[in-house]
Amino acid sequence: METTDLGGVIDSMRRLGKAGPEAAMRVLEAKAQTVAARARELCPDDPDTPGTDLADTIRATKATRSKGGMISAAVIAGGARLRKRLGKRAYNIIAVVQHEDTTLKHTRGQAKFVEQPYLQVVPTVAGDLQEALDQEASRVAG
Amino acid sequence: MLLADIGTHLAGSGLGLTLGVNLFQVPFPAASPPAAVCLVETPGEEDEFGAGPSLDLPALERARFQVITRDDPQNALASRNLAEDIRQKLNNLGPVTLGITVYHHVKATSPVFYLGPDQNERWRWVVNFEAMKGNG
Repeated sequence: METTDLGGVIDSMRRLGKAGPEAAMRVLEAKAQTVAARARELCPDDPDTPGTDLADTIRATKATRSKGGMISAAVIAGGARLRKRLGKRAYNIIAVVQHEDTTLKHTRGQAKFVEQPYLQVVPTVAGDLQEALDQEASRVAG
Repeated sequence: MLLADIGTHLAGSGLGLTLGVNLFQVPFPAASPPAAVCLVETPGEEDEFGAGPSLDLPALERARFQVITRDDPQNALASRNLAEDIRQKLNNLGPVTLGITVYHHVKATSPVFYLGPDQNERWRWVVNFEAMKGNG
C-alpha cells in the first residue's frame, strides 16, 4: 500500500534541502512503528492454530530514501522468523492467509490486522509531515 | 448496503452467479455448494463530511470489501478465472447507481491471488476492492 496524496508537503520538503527528507523519514518511521504496534494487538493469536506466534514477527522497517527521492517505510509480518516454528512450506504463507482470510474464526484477533491500522494512520501522515517540516524550517531559520 | 448492491450487480453481470445459491453476502454458509463466491466487508477508511449540520450523513464513504471464489481442486482454474471475471466487472466501475446508492468509483486494490485451500480442501482465490460511495 502506498501513500502519495501529500500535496504541498512534498514542496515544503524540497525547499528544506537535506533536512526535509530527514524529517520526513523520522515521521514515516514513527508512523510505521504505530501501525506495527497496533497490528501486533490485532493479529490473530489463537492457541489452537499454528499462527500463534505470528504477532511476534510484526515489525516496522527503518525509513529509506531511494536515489529517485522516494521515501518509504514498511511494516512486515511473518517471513523467515517463522521457519523454525512452522517448517519450510508454511512459514512464507501463514501471514498472507491470516491477513487475507476473512472467513477464519479467531478467538483473538482478526484478518486485515495490518491494513486496518494502516488505513487509520494514513490520514494523519500529511499533517504530521507538514508539522515536522515547519518545525525544521523554524529551526533552520532560527 | 454495500454488499447487497455489489451482490446484485454481480448477479446481473452474466457470470452465472445467483444470490443465495452460489453467491453469498456473508462468509460461505455451511450449506453452500463447493463452487461458490462470497463477499465480505473489510476495514475501510474514515468518512468525508461536508459542511452540513451535526450528525449529517457523510458526503463520501470509503468502504472496502473482499471477493472470495472457491471450488474443488479439479475446477481450480475455472474458479481462478471467475475471480478474474469478477475483478473485470468491478475494477474502475463508476460513477454508477447501485440500488439507491451512488458509487463514485470502485477499484480493485489487489490482483487475483491464491488464498490456499479451505478446511474441505477447496481452492480459494481472492480479490480486494475499495468503493468510494455516497451514503446509503
